[in-house]
Parts: sequence; structure tokens; C-alpha cells
Amino acid sequence: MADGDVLRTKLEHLNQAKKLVLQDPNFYPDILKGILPIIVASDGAIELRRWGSEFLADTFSSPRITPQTKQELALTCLEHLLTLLNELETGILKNVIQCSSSIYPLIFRYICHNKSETAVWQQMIAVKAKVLSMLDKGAEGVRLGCIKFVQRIILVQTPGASDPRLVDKSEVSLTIVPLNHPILNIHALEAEAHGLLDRLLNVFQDGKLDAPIITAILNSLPALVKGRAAISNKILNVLMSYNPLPIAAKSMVFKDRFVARSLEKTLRTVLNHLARASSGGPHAGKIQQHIQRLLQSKSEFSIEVPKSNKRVLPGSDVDSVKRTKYTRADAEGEYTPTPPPPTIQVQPSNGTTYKTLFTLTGDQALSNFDVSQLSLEMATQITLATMYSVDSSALESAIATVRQRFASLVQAAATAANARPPPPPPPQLDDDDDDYVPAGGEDLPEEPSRISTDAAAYSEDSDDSYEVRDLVPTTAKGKVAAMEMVKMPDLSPAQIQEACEGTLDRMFETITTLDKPVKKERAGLNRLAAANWDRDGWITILSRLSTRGLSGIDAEITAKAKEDRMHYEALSAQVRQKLYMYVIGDFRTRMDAAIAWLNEEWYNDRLQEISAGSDGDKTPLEPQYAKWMAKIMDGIFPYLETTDRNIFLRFLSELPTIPPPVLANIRGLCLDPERSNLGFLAFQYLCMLKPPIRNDVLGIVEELWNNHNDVKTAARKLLVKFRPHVVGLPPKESV
Amino acid sequence: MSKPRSTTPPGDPPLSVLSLYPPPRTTKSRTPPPPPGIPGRQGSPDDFPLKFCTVCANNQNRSMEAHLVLSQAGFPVISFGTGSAVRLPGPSIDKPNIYAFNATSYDEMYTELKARDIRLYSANGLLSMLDRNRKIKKSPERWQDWSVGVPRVGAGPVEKRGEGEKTYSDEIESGVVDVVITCEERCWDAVVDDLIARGSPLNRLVHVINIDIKDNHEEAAVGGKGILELAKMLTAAAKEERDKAADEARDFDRSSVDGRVPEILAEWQERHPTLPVLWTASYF
Repeated sequence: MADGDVLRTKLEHLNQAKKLVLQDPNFYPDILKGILPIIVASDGAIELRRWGSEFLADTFSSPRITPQTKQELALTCLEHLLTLLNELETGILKNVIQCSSSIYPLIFRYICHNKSETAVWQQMIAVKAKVLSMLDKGAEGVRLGCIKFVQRIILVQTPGASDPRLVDKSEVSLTIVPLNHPILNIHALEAEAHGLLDRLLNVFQDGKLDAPIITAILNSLPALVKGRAAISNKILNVLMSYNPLPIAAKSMVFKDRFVARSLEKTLRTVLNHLARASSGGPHAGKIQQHIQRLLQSKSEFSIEVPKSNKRVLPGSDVDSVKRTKYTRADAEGEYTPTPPPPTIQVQPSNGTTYKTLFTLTGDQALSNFDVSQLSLEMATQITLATMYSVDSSALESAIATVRQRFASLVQAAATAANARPPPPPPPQLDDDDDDYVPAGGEDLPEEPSRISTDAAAYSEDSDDSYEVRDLVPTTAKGKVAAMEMVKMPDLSPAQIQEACEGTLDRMFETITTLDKPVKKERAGLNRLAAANWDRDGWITILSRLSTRGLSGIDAEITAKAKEDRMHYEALSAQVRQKLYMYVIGDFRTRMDAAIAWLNEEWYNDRLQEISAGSDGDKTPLEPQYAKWMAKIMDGIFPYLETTDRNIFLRFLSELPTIPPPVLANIRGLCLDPERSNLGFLAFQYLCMLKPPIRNDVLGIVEELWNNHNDVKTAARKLLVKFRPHVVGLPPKESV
Repeated sequence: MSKPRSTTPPGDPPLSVLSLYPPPRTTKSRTPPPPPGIPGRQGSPDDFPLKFCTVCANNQNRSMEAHLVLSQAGFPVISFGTGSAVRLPGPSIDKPNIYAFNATSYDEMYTELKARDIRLYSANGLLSMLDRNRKIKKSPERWQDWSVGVPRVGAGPVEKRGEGEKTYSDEIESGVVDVVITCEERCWDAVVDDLIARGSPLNRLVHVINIDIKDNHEEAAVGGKGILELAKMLTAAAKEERDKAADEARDFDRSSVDGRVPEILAEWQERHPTLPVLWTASYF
């Protein structure tokens, strides 16, 4: 109890001392020297050492103490740090290692200038050895500290910038080591740094998902890449071949997927940082590429993970699919591992059924196999697998055989010439896959009509031995009727909308994954719109679909929907909405698309006008250009920045007309103090290069000049040029 | 689909979002009831081994809501915004109210907006939000301007400190935190990027966690609760590890809370599937 009290009093005193240095950092040297013996004594209470290690860590991290002072303090603390490193408690070790990371450069610099301080350097080396020994086997928190320490060592023990203009005087690197230093051997130190770097980089290759370690290393590397040219290539190469997703994608564990997401995002943030830092450098392009790759693999990852075992490449997996299916059949004792060469045997005609019509194999066991036992999914897989591997000549001969049989049956039936009424169309022939299957399936027991028919529909006539005779037409007229495909009912407007929605989503998905074409060829008038399947091509197609392609269809469906009293949102409107969302999604890079699209809209509006003019009774469609133009403007205005000047002016310049609401938007820009410049620039540009709306623009500017004091100067500039009389200047002779 | 990109510094919220702040459901002031125990006093260091920092774009809504609930529960917590300026919804979408970080206090914003249009700013919840904030600390702070490691003592709303009473904690005497929680992915990007750019001079480990919270009052309240729960889970784990360290034979087999962070986050995420979480281990 008494011990506890003593301890509490001591901690109280220490906290008071700490308050003092927090208020005035000048007290640090005295206070630290005073309390050092208490806080590191290995026979004292563990609480004191906890407190002490934290205090030391904070002290050497504090930005308020000069490096010079820190260096002096470091020299007095070094010995004690070494003792504290023998502690086993994670918290204390973390603090001590943080401390060591901070003082390593200080001590290194000290040794550079004090060539005879061998003892100090020996202590530092001991600390270093101790910390490094924990890099691999310490507790996680300790290892994270060690990583930072290793990063510091690498920074110190590799040459810094050699260009004197770039040298940061406070930076510690091999460059400051004098030649022939008695203690510091440049080559040995650099070799050690490289070795340590390799140890760090190893985590990207060992395929483990030790997330804290990997993210910590990722976050430590940029400083090395940016500050140490000698090793930046090596690090970049490792980073650019690293992708945590495939490793994680194998796992279905929730935590692993969260971890993978975090790893990938950290990696991407680091790469983004480096790309920006080295913009214009040789690596910027490559880094961008890897970022794109990561994004792509991320989108695959998030789609695929929940069902990663279901999506298989048809080509590569046909065999395994077949194999598993066959083993099933094998279990029933009916499978021969090497199927005999395809021989088509005509069954003895004992009563004509679909079965006999389509059966091509002579194997009784196979032909008696009831495929309806197979699940629909399995049957589909078998069918698909077979379709991929079928030999086309075998298929043709099989089709020919069946066709011949069918013809002879028809003939036989016709000669029998009974007086039955024409039969209904065969319910099972609607699936056009039917013909292929038996041929490809020489080695398969399936009966075609069963495979690809929905089980529920099939159950109605599950007896497969009903007579073909019933179904074979007796007259020529009936024959035509029999061969007619079952006509799908027309899609309802709602279904159309849904299908359209899905298709559009897929198209935009494709578009966003397509890269921007590297260099556009200027083909002039010979240019064909949408000649390539690149991004521009798709945009052209979509914008023309919305403006022209779908208007006919829309009119038709709208009429029908009206009949059914149903709401119908025109397909073209859907496409437009999607295009709008696409542009707004990243307007800076998609401005081209917006311009192309809006120009199509404008052109189409004109076409409509003309055709309505020439054809009195035709009502023109609602003009779209102004509507969508205003919408896009509304969408991008909140995001516009002064730096978007080029893109914004280009946008304004490449559009045929500027509707008034857009001018009102730009007026809003002028009044936003941060973007006022951009607004006026746009106005100035419009005045100079778009004479048709010059008057409107000047009207707004005049209004601004009259009513808003804070933009008076900017407004005045424009008015002086175009409407001098407003600002009280004599009119210019011409504008 | 890439998300909207903007060259505004990461963290600036789209104004369209801001303008959609729905009015709060209740008309009564959002000032929270006095927390249990002594208001505004941080819990004892033994009970709260981890220090937190909440970050959103404007240091107004989400980060301040979380700041409030964490400090009410006794956690040492500070908060920041990553935007280039504080943007609050104005009378229309193209007329936001823009203030500089660190310079304009919550109190000044409150007074100004109240004078400008009390009806509008009460209806969209801005006034009650600012009123809450001015009781927590003086002014919105920008993450990028934060000097990490400089002690933060005696921060907090001015008028209250004069009376010798603090409403809520906004102090971290060492000036560093163990966990940064951002409320939007762009803020997380900004924070992680900024930490890299600073070059980690302090050599101190920090966990940067993002929890995606939509920028409106309701979601901020939901997110604040989630953050509180996460803070409790992390703290509990930290205490557990520390107690283990104190009781057991001390060997390297025990893990530290740092190693358990992913596991705790995954567990938390399973409980809060609507708040997507992201994390990295970085250094100050």
C-alpha cells in the first residue's frame, strides 16, 4: 500500500514536470536530466518506465525542440535507451524504438563531425542491433516501430541528393559522411541499407497478408523513393509488380477481403503520391498504368469474390466440367473412358417417337439413360461444354441423319393420309439448340428435347414415347404451320425499359474501362464516326441513338403505352440520362464526350425543326439541346475551380449556342469570391468570340457592375472594352 | 465507374450534398444532454489508452458529431477538416457560405448566419449545428495546418474556459493521436497523402481509418454512434493487451493492439455493413 502511495506521488511529480516542459520547451534539457535516472531505473516500478519511455518518445518527436538540443539530449539518453530495450512490454518497446528512430540520424550526424567518439557509435550500433533483432520476431506493435526505424536507417545510410541546390541542410544521409572517416565506412553502411531495404521489400513477394506490416511499409516507402535516387528504381519496380488483390481474392473470409481492400487502397494512394511527385519523370506514366491496373483488378475483385468459384473460362474448363459430369455417369456404370469413334446407327424403328428420331448412339445403356434426372443447370453445362468441343463434320452428318429420318417420317405420314385435323405446332421444337445436341453428343446420353427445355414446362408431357405421328403434319399447309417457331410475345413497355436500362449499364461499364485513345488521328472530312470500338466510338453511338436512332421506336412504344395507360419513359431519355451521369461522373476527362453529345443534340433539334417546318402536321419532338446543356452546367458548376479554366472555356467555345440559364450560372461563378476570375474570363471569352450572345452577356455584366461592389473592378474591365458608355467613358469607334 | 473528380483539394464536399442538409427531425436544440460524470473532463489515462482524432471535409458536421460523442464518453479527441475552406450551404447552390479554416470561429459563423437569415439557417439545421460546435471548440481546424506534436492544452470554447469550466474535451497534451478516423474516402486520401508528404518526422505510428458517412445530420448521428462503438472496441482491446502485459509472464507471444486493428475493424464492419470502412497503418 505504502509502495503504491510512493509510486503515485512520484508519478504526480513527473506529471507536473511534464506540464512544465509542455508549456515551455526550454525546460526540456534540465528536466530530462533530472528525471532520467528515475524513469529508466530497471529496479524501479514498471509504471515509471512506462511513463519514462513515453516521455522520451514524445521528447525526441517534439517539433518544438531544436535538432541541436535533441542531439545533446540524445547523447545523454543513448545508454538508457539500450537498457530500456531489454524490456519485454510492447508499450515500452514501441516508445523506445520510436525514440531510437528519432535519434539515429542525430547520433549519425554527431559521429560524422566527431570522428573520435567511438564509444557513442558503439552504443548506437548496439541499439540498432537490438531493434533490428525485433524486426521479424517482435510483437506486431514493436515490428511496426522497427519498420520505421529501418526506414530511418535506410534514409541515413544511402546517399542523398548530390545537387547542392537540392540539399536540405538538416537532412542526414551518406552524403554528409566525410571521406576516410575512421568509424563510418560508407560502403559497409550503404550495403547494410540495401540489405535492410530488401528485407522490407520482401513482404511484397512472400504472398502473406500481414496487413499492418504491409501498409506500414507502403507508407514508409515514398520518402525513400523521393529522397533517395539510388534506390528509387528498385522500390518502384517492386511496387509496380505488387497487387494484393489476387492473394486476397482467394479467401472468402470477411476480414481478408476488408484487408485486401485496405491494402489495395493504400498502395494506390502511395502510387498516386509518387506519380504526382514524379510527374514528368520517367516513371510517372508507368505508375499511372499500374494504378489503372489496380483499379481494374479491384473492379473484378469486388464482382468476383462472392462467386469466384462459379465464374470459369469456358475454354479452359470444358474438360473439367465434362470430367465431373462423366464421373457421375461413371458412378452409374455407364461411362466408358474412351468413347468409341462416333458411329451413327439407325435404330430399328419400333414405334416412332422423338426418342427414336433423335437417338444417334447405338449404346442401349446410354439411350435408356433418363436425362431428366440431371439438374437443369448440369444439363446446360454439359450441353455448353459439348457445343464448344463438337467436331463440325460429325455435327453435320448427325444433322443430316436426323433430317433424313424426319423427311422419311413425313413422307410416310403423308402416304398414310389419314383424315386427322392439322396438329398443333410441336411444343418441344421451339428451342433451336435442339438440333445440335444429339450430334455433338455422340458420346452423350442426353436426349435433346429434354436438355434445354425448362423442367417445369416439360413435366406436362414427360412421357417421351408419344408418337411423332401425332405431331407430323399431314398436309403441306400443316407442314408450314408445324415448322413455325413459337413467336415470343412482344415485350411490354416496362420490360423494354428494363432491358434498355441493363444494356445501357453494360455499355457504360465497358466505356469506363476503355482507355482513352492515345493519339487521335486527324482524318478531317474522311473521319468516320464510331469506326473503332473505342470510347469515342461508343459515345458517338450512344449520342446518336438518343438523338435520332431511338426516336422512331420511342414514338411507337409511347403510343402503345398510352393505349395501355402505362407510364413509359422514352428510351432516348434514358440514354440521355445515362450520358449525363457519365459526363458528370468525371467531367474533366469526359468533356470531349459532353461536347460531342451536345453537338449531336443541337443538330438533331435543328433537323426536327426543319422537318416540322416542311411537314405541317408532324409535331416536332421536344428540343433537347438547351435542356441538357443547362443540366450539365448545373452538374459541373459546383465542382468548377479556377484551374479548370482551359477545359471550361473550351467547353463553351465548342458548343453551338449558349442558352440563357447557362449565362445565369456563369454569373453565379462571378459572385463566388474563389471563382470570380473564372466567371469573368468566361464572359470575356463569350463577348469576344460568340457575338450572337454578346448583348446578353454584357447585360449581365452591367447588372453586376451596378449591383455588386465586390466584382466591380472585374466587371468594369469588360465594360470598358465593350460598353464604355456604361462606365462613363466615351464610346469607342468600333468594338 | 470512377467517382466525381475534382481538383478541389480532396475533402471538399460537393456543394450539392451540402445543400441537401435536411432539416433536423426535431426542432429542439441539438445541444446534447449533459454527459454522465463530469462534463468535458477526459477520462483517466488508464481508462483511455488511445487518443483519437476525427476528420471530415469541413470540420463541421460529421467530425464534430463524432468529436462530441467521443468526448462525452471521456475519450481524448480532437478533430479536423481536410477541405480548402469551410463551405456551408447558402441561400442557393451556387452561393455557399465560405469561411477560412482556423480563422473564423464557430461562434462568429453562428452570429453571422443568424443575422443573415435566421429562418433559412434554422430550417436547414446549420444554426443548431454551429451552436453545438461552438460549445466544443473555438474554430474549425484544417488537417493540413495541424502541427502534430505541439501540445494542445487549453483549447476549447473561449467563453466557457473563462468560467473555469470546460464543456467538452478538445485537449491532447502530447499533441499526437493513435487513431485518426476520417468520415469520407476523400478525407482519408487527403490524410494518408498528407502523412506521406510530411515525411513522418515524429516516427510515431498512427492508424488511419475511414468510415464512409454521408454528409447530413442524420447520417452524421448514425456515424457518430458507430465511431464511438469502434473507439470503445479499440480501447477495450488496448486495455486487454496492456492488462495481459501487466499480469502474465512477459514474453513476445502476446500481440499488441496494433496487430489486432484489422481484426477489430472487420468485426465492427460486420456489425455496420452500411458504413464502409478502410484502414492503413501510417506514421506521423
